Amino acid sequence: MEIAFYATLERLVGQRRVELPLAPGATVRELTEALAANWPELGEHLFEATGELSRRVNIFVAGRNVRWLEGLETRVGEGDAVDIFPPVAGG
Amino acid sequence: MKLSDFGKSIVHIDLTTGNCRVEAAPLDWVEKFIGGRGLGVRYVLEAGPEVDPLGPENRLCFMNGPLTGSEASMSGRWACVTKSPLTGTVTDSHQGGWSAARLRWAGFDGLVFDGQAEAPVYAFIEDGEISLRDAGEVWGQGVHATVAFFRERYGTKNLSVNAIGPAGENQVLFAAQVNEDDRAFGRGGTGAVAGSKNLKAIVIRAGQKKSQVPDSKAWKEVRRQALDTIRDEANITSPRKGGLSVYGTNVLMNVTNTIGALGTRNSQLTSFGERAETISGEWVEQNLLVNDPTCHACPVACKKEVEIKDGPWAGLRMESVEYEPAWSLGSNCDNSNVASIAKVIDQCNDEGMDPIELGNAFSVWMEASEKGWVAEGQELAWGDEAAMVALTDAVAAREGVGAILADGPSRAAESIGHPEIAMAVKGQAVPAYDPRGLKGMGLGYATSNRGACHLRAYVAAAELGVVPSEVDPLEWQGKGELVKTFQDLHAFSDSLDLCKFSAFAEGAEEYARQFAVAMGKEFEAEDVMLAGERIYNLERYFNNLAGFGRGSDTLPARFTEEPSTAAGSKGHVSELDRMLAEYYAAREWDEGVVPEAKLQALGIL
Ligand code: SF4
Repeated sequence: MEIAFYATLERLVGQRRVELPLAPGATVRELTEALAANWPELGEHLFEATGELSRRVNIFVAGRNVRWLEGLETRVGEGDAVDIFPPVAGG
Repeated sequence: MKLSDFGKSIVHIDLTTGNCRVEAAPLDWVEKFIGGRGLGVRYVLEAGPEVDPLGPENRLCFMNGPLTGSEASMSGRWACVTKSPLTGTVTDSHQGGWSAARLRWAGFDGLVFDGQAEAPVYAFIEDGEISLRDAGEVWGQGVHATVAFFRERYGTKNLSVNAIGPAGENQVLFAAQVNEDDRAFGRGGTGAVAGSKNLKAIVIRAGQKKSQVPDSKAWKEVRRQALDTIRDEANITSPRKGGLSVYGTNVLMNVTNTIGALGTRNSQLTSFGERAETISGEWVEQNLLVNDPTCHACPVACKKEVEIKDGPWAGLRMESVEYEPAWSLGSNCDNSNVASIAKVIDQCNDEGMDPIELGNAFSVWMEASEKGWVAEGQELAWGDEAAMVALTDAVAAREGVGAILADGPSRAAESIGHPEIAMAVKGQAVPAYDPRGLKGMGLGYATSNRGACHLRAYVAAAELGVVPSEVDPLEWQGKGELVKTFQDLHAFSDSLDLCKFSAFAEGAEEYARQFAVAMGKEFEAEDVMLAGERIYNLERYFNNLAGFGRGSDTLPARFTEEPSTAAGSKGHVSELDRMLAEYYAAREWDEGVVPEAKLQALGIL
């Protein structure tokens, strides 16, 4: 499964896209745990101390912020893009 | 520089007679409308809502806020307020840089221009004095040459120049005014109003002055609290760490593209796909960035100076490839070459035009050309960069097709009998957030008092999960109250006048604390929201009197009837009518009209 990072998170990971050995149907929880295992510094950005998804990231599956889907239990379907952003806005 | 003296030194300049006099603003105006945008609107209302925007009776106000030029973070801003020739509404536009701060340091709180000069003039301001001087030598010149001319004449030290270019002189309806070469009063055509008055520039020479406040310890403390939130690494404003600071406003391009909210080909599509990458903030930062300039008292430094390395525009050094023009001249025109976008933005800075409006005029003409609605020889193809560059000059000069586009996308679309292809509200073009993917932004466009605008209610901050009050961008319910809250908060910060981006870190509490200590009076967060509401209603009252009655708050049918086709917002349209009902209930307005009882309750009548 391919995951894209943007803005300051792209800097942190050191590349725009990474591949994870996850099959379609995996949950965002599985995905984020795999990311944290590979990039511990990223892990600190992904989770609050309570284990919830951090406010410092927005994870989009097929263009929808998982916060408005099933959160960490959201499943990534076949062909769904996964895009991870820090909070971003401007004018 | 005693901050609580704000409002006591407003200069009234009659351009017809050349007479200048300094007066205090009426005390109750300052109390009710704060400064900047609010006070400016009150002055413009006094001139009358029915005036011809390009006639001598229209009033052109430059208004500082009570915090402008102080040590408060992000306080280098002033408002330009007038009746817009583009929309016929009242309009306010804000500028960063240093002109605003220098006006305060020179001893003035605002400039109110009336009348019309017989020949081109500029205002020169220094040490509590203002004079009108002959601008004949720079009339016809671009902003860059005008700035260079005044630097040559007055030296570069402590000098700021706010100028119009040929577009303002030729009364292009979306002409801008630009200071420091590239920081603009961008929207609403304030440059055309200056041009109609033969006012070429405002030149201010003043060194920094320290603020005097009743309690300097408290002043230091409230500023530190605000600065701490701006610096907090969790906030996008965090210097060199937050997305806004590192990439500038164009950090937005990839996210709006991802969620299906990036209008493409005149909003016929809602995503630019993989082509968004080469016009994004990340791409610019990695390939073109050479410097991160800032404004007075701002640690964020969101301005991004770039240098084009190759191609026909190699060697061009300019700022800034902001998100708005990267969209309006980019995906909106089916153009993925950031070099040509930078070129046209720089032309807009030099010729003095709003690139949001210009990009929308191009995309209207491109769609019309594709559909065969444009006369032979006048076509413009999607993404034709060389033609866009050439046409930019023609618009500023009002030549050929440029003369049609110089009246803005709404009038251009009407001129060929297809008003439906103008993505505009009240005659002003939409900015870079497609209302099918960010529904609150659509309501914000429809109900903005200056025509379509992203900044009046920047609810994208909530819809994109930047501020704690995050909301689902595809949900229409609840957006009425949310838009009202954001509009009121921004009406206040625009009146202080702090940079809009302060709201990504600060809120009503921080604004209230700084304002209270600066003025030496009690002021709470709820007073911030009440003053913001009063200012928003004052603008709406002006517009109602100017002929914007029931049913004026609309969106182009493309957003309410043609579903999005991109991932993230697929199948969605804007549920404008439902959101409007919520919004009017929250505002206690009658279908967009402020009832007299509301005006009285807010102390406007
Ligand atoms: S955030 Fe950007 S626009 Fe605002 S004051 Fe700072 S540098 Fe200027």
